[in-house]
Amino acid sequence: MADASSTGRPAALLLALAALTGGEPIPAAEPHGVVVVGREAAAAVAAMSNGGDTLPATIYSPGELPTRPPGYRTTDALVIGTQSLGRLDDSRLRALLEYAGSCGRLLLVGTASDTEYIFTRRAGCGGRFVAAAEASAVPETLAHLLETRPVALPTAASLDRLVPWRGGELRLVALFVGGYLVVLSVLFGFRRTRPAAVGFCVLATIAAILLWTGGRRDGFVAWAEVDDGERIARYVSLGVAAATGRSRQEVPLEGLGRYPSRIVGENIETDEETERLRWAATLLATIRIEATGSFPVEPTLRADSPDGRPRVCNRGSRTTEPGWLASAGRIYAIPALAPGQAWRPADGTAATTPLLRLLRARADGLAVLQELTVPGDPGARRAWLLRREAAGAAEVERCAS
Amino acid sequence: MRELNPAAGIAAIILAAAVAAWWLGSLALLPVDDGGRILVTSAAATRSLIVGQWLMIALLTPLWTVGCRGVGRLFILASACLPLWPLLAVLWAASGVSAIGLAASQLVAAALFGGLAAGAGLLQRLPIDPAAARLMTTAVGAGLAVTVWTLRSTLGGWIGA
Repeated sequence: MADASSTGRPAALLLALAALTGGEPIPAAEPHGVVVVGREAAAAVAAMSNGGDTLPATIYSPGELPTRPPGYRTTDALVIGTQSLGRLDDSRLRALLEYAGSCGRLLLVGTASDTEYIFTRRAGCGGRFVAAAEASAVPETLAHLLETRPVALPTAASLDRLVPWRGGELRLVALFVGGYLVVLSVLFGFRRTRPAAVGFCVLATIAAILLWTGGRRDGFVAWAEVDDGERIARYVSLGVAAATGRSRQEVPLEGLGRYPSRIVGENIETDEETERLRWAATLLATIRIEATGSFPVEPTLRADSPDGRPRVCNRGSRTTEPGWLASAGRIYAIPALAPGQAWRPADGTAATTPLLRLLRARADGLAVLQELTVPGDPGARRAWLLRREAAGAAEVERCAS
Repeated sequence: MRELNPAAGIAAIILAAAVAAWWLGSLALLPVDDGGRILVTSAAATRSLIVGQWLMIALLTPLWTVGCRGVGRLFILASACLPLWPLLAVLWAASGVSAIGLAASQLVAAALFGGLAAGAGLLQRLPIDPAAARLMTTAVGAGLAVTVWTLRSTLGGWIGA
């Protein structure tokens, strides 16, 4: 069993679970550290006491758990018992499933095997961070879960260069202001044109108000990753909205951007009921909405290297869109493949675009990158799925070489 | 139509160009993801432009309005105010400054101009040496300019952000 110091926490900061089990729990605003839900799980975790030190844990009642997945962003691990699990309402259960989908550490105490199966199937990282244990085995199992952590997704900032559009409004403003000052100087410079300057000033004022009132431009990119054999992909997304003028805007939170983990911008109100942001937008201002989550994936394109040379196979039931293959630091363009069709790369290409550079950085060995279909304007909203192939993976089946 | 005062117009253009250059330059240096700082910079630019306009009017009205009356003074006012309006419109779009605040600032500019012009005209009609009258008008304008400069933070707050 790993002791508390193996998780990187100083013993002096550890809380006594015995005290927590005795008194009224005072949960933090957001579940933080190791979260124990319900007294039956707390009693089991109390047995973790090791020479007076215990893991820092906070006890929550089921009704105090977050109703939205971002509420779990500072949770190291969650320990929950059967009774507490049954008392979760729909929104809290969905948030918990999403937490598991994002490779959150989840320990089910005394839970029936079918419940464990459901959570494991819905969990990201192949279910490696979901475990079930009887009360007596909780300390050991929890310590084991805390020993490892999932591979970090790329940061939202690294998706910045993938946003389909970048700026542009500042150039128009500079052109307008510069052009206006030049024309006005000319009008004032000649005696006959001075009266026209009045009309020009008024017209330019009206033009500026009309040009820069209202309007917004949106961009959205999502990057998902899944390892070979996993059913749930984790993703990080970045939504950017830029105001093209002063107005009040409503920005919907939907699809892969539904649960923001971070919102950067000014004059924004979040309405969680309608899942919208209300934004007092001003010209040149932007908001960034970073979100994380997970979704189920079906096996489609898969790569292997049975004879040392990479090969890609479409294992799905539909023709795939063109994608990219990363192998040994090289990038190859994959053509559209019919179901069951296999393809071997010939000529590689250099990672010249931000997308291919990110692919090269994230691919650890053999990996396939596919573009996903997301609702909305395909020029402004894009998403990609990176499927990493495990080393020594079994040979691709049902594919003709 | 009477001609606009080229000196007033050119002064307004120079002021607008200075503020526009400062504003656009400061925006170009900002990171693209920081909408908050763009907003603050725009509000600061708006206040600077308006305080600059008031300073310009306080300092130069006595000189511009010498020998002018009625419609002539209105044209001087137009050439001191109108060239700044398109830039004010852009700054309004880029900041949280209220349209009412901007409109009020232009009324204040007009009132400042009207008061100084009337005072200058009154002094010139008094039985005193014309040079002394002009000096007194200029001194009043300079005093107003110093007041505007001293109270620029308070005045900027009134304009709103």
